[in-house]
Amino acid sequence: MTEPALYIALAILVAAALVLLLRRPRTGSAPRLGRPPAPPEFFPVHCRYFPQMRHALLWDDAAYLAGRGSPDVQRRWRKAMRRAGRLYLAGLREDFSRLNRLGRLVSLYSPELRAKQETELAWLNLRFQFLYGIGLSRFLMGQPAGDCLDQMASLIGSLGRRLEQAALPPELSSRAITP
Amino acid sequence: MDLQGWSELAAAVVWPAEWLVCGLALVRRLWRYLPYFAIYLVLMVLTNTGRWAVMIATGTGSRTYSWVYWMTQPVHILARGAALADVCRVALSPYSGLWRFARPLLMLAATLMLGLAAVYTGGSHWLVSYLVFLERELEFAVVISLLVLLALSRYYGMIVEPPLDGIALGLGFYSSFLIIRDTIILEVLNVPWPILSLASTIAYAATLGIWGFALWGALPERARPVLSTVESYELNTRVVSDRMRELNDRMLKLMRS
Repeated sequence: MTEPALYIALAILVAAALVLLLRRPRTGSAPRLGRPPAPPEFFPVHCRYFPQMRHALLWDDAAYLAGRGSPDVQRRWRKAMRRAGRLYLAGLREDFSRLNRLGRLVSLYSPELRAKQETELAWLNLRFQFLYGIGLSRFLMGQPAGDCLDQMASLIGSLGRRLEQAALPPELSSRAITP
Repeated sequence: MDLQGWSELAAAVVWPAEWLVCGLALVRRLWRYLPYFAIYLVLMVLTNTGRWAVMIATGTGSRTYSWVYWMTQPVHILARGAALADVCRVALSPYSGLWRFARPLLMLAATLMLGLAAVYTGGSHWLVSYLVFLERELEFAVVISLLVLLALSRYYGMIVEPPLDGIALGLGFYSSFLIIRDTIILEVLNVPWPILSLASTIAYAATLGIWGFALWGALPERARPVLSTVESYELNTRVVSDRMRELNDRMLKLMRS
């Protein structure tokens, strides 16, 4: 009885997966045939606000507040810090997703793909998502991450300049792309 | 009316629907866009008409009908395989790099399933059992290949445009149903044949509905995308993957801090 149940469950799952995969993306961001998307939508946005965010996320303030604020104020401050940090990390992930989309778009419009490079892009994406999840949980536990955020943000920000210097295809580099 | 009667009635309703969808495909000149799928539809109409004629003449329980049914089934399966290849070609071939990259993956998925079919059916001697086994594994090859195609399209941010999306959905839905039906037959799950027959007719009617809906509008004008160069691809993917790697390293450091 196990094998038929497995076959039937598998068939139902596959049919459901087909329906899900055929659904159009909500954002409508997928390129239509012959029309590559506008370049600016792929480039980092959140890392531009890093100096402000870094200042806002300094955990040094905790020591200052410990001596002056009531427990309730400290609790609210920690909650707000965690929320801001979580949102900013989500923003950095969005920046990463933009890079990833750009990489896939370059592949889509290329007349030839290299399996090694495609595998590497997919692997890097998986790795980032995994690291992001763990990094986020650490941040939520209240560990300082200011310096590393600094490095991450500058990395994402400089990507735009690097890509601009690289010989992007005309349909992608028709406008300035550095944020 | 008993189940047998309901089954025959459903088949009588589906038969004109089948002609209608085939006619719609011919009016839309689908053979220019998806030649093998158009051939598949014509073959389905012809073989099902033949089956229908035999059924009227000899009855559904006759050996003749059973023989005709199972002998035409491989034709359907092979035609469905060709239709699937057609769908994959039309969806991906405008992006020549992706098409070259995806072809071995799709072939690998189909070959894997066919290999499994060969292994499973090796010890089967009863012809109908052999065909049902083969059909189930081939249907698996169809749905797995469709899944690979759609997963690749989604990964690279490509939209599977109408009517291709409806045609792919119909193929996937019908193949999934046949896997379930064949499993029930093979594992002798004590489901009466008239119920299976009625369910098959209803599933086929639903598939025809999906295809009819997909083919209702005019076929789209196909614009070929402007592709970049190989040099540009190599340069840009290297830049992007270097950046992603660095970002990952920083995330790792963030975790270790």
